Amino acid sequence: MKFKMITVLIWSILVIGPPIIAWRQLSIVAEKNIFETIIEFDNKFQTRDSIEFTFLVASYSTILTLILGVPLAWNLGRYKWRYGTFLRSLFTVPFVMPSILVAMGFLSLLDWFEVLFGINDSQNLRFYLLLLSHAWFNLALVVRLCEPILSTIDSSYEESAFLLPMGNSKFKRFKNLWLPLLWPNILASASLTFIFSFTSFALVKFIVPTKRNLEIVMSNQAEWAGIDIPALGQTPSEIILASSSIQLLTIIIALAISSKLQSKSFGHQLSSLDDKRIDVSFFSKRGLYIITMLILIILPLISLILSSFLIRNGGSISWTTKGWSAAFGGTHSPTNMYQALYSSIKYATISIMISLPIGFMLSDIINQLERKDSILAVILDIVVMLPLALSAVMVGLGVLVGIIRTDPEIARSWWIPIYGHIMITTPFVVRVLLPAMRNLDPDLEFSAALLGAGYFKRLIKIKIPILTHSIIVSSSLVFAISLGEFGSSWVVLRFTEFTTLPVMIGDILSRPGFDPLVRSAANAAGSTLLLMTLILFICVEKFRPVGSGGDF
Amino acid sequence: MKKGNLINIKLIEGVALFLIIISSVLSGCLSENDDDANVTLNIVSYDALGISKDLLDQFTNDTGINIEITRAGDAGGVLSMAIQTKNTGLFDVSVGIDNSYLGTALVADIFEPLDTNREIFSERALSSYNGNLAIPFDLGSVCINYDSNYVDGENITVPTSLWNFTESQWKGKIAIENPRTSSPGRAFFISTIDYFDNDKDEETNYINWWNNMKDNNVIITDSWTTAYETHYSGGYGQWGEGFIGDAHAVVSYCHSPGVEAYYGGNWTTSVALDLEGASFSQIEYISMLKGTEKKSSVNIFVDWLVSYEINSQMSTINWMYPSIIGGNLTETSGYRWHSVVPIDCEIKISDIDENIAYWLDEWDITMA
Repeated sequence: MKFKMITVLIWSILVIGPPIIAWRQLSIVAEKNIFETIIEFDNKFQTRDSIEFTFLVASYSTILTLILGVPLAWNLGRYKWRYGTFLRSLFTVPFVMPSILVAMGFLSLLDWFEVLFGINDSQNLRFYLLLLSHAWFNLALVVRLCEPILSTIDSSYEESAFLLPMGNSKFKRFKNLWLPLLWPNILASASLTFIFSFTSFALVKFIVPTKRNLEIVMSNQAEWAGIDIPALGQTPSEIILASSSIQLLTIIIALAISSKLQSKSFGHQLSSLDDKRIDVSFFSKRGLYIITMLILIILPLISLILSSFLIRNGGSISWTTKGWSAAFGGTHSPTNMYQALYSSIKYATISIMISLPIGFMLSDIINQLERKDSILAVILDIVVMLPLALSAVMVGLGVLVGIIRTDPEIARSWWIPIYGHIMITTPFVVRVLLPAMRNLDPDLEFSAALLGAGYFKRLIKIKIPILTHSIIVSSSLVFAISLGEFGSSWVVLRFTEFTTLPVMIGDILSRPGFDPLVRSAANAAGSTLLLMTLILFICVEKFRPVGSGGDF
Repeated sequence: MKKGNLINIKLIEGVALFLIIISSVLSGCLSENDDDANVTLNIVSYDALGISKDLLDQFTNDTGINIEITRAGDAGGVLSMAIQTKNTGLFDVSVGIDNSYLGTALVADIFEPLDTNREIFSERALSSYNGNLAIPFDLGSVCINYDSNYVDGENITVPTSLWNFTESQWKGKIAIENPRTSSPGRAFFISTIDYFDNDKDEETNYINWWNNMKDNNVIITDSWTTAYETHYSGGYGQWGEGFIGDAHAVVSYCHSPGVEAYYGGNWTTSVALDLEGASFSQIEYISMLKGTEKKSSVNIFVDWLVSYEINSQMSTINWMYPSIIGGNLTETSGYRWHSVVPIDCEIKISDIDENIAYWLDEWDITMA
């Protein structure tokens, strides 16, 4: 028990420590309390309309994601498709793609549409494209949260519903059978989609460059926030103090809803672990729908890969592999792709070694608290998910100030970037393992405990063997997210020796694009990342048995 | 002792041993080599610094000094990082703090004097500051660029005053960077203050102009990249993803058309507007940061960067003018021919430091 308490304590300090340091620093420099900064928030050019825009985009994106995602989850969950493993991998890959590349993919798609169909670029069109890109990104959440129930529901429930007056029509079956079963998972995925759309950065920045959401407002002010020179630091500190407070409050509410609903879905679980899916061909109406969705998913990815071979040459565009040569040779970045790949794989591997045991332990504790119906389960679940809600600006500032006040040399430690990777991946380990643990029969552990097995023996002999598949799936997720994560953005300092592949892409893109090779080199590095992630997911999907693989 | 407890202890010991072995191995793989023979200079620079890895490797081969660069956004980000890490020894050198920020940096007392011979620099390079705390390594003027396709095609008169941009033919057609979030935006903003202070009209100042620009739907962007790549119709952005092209004028460098020509085979439709006093001569500095213990290595690096061999190539290394006497843009592919050297505004760095917070607050209120 002590061991578990220590895990919770360490996690809480790691998550809450940096933002508290940052808040303190910002409050000192701003010389105003949070309420004053919020009241004055919308008066400035830098922040005008950003709250309204953030909520609007997050809400519309969530609605669109559900409209596209629920039917997709239904078709993947209820029907057995040829190449199903590959399909599910493809529908999951977007979620772990670096958003900067997704933005590039969608923007190049926009260009293709303009060329092929004569659709003119406009502010309205870009707004819809932003919503679509958010839906594209978050489709995996809806699929992964809803599909396990759909794929394992006992067919006798539906057969019974057919015979009863309450289920003798499609609408009635939807209302009386499927909706009560699915709504907690649908709303949980909606909450998470809302959070990710609310905190979206690169997609907003690149697709609608004339608009600002709260994340962009904070990023714009990050440079001078917390600097103890009033003329420079006061206004940025006020802005970040207000934005981060609004963001944190909103997201904690969304996380609480999500956590409560997901634990409710456990109570409604009627499913078995057997595959109950019905065979269906691609040459059907459903097949046509799946193919359409598939095209939607792969178009931005293909567009990105194609762009890596395109380069402007004087007044025209030509096909070439020079971008790939530049990426591998490192001629347009502080490091080359081999070194960046090595760093990425190294940090992703270390992330698995640390995030997995921490995530396992936290899931176990939440699961046990849930069985006691304790409110602490919801609180801990929120603390676990909190890193996804905190602005990178706040965490970065907190880490930097914290390091400088203790020992500045720590900033150069090889393990500092791992902090960011652990913070961003552990919540996903919990999201995978927790539902799987909820499905475990508690009597198994009780019996083993009665027979004298200690905690670690029960862990090794019972839990880990039963949860092997989920552990493999969560490991792959950690690896993929870590590969695509701008982890170092969490700690502000970007040392070249720690450059991972996504950071290298960011470095290339931050250069002026006068040199035609710049953009295609970034796209080549992005394509490599995309292909690696895809291969990883296809390999691991085989380990994810129907319905038992957890939430994700 | 119970058997269960014994197993637990052994397991914990095993896990601890495993973690120690793993962390030892990883430390060996990942930690910095502390060999005294190899000094590593830690540099904080802006993201877009163009000094290539090959060039830095060449420096390391010649001197035995390793270079480690940390990117910190733009010029403001470099200064901010230097202030936050003052006296910590975390960074030895800052690269890219410009003369719009230099006054603040000097007041913040973050630099150590360098030994560099200042007689090698051009008069323009030393025009803002001529001390040994900040050494100019490159420069370039920030001004308005326009798309000649629009001006010639629509038969519009080339602007002869900044007021022309408040007229209907430029309504919603000029992109300017936010001075709070972009270095070129800040540089141009400062030039507008000086421009309207020194023009013939005593009744109006920069606030009136910005106010009129706001009414004329000026496009304000958070970064140079968004203004130039996404909005500007006359730049390379037209060949990339997400191009809008709704702005036919943009704030950039006066030699940006030259860079366009250099990469475009001596072809560009972009022209820098040569308007007296409506441009800001941006001078970028390299400095030794307080707290460093590698003063000799820092001086070697600075001398290398301002040596004729390296500095004279600055127009292709970092897309800026060299700072040394006799340095100029390359003539290849019309680079120099398409570049303009305007008469820049004259404003002291101490004035900027004293007033910038007030000016920016005024601008914020005007544009809100």
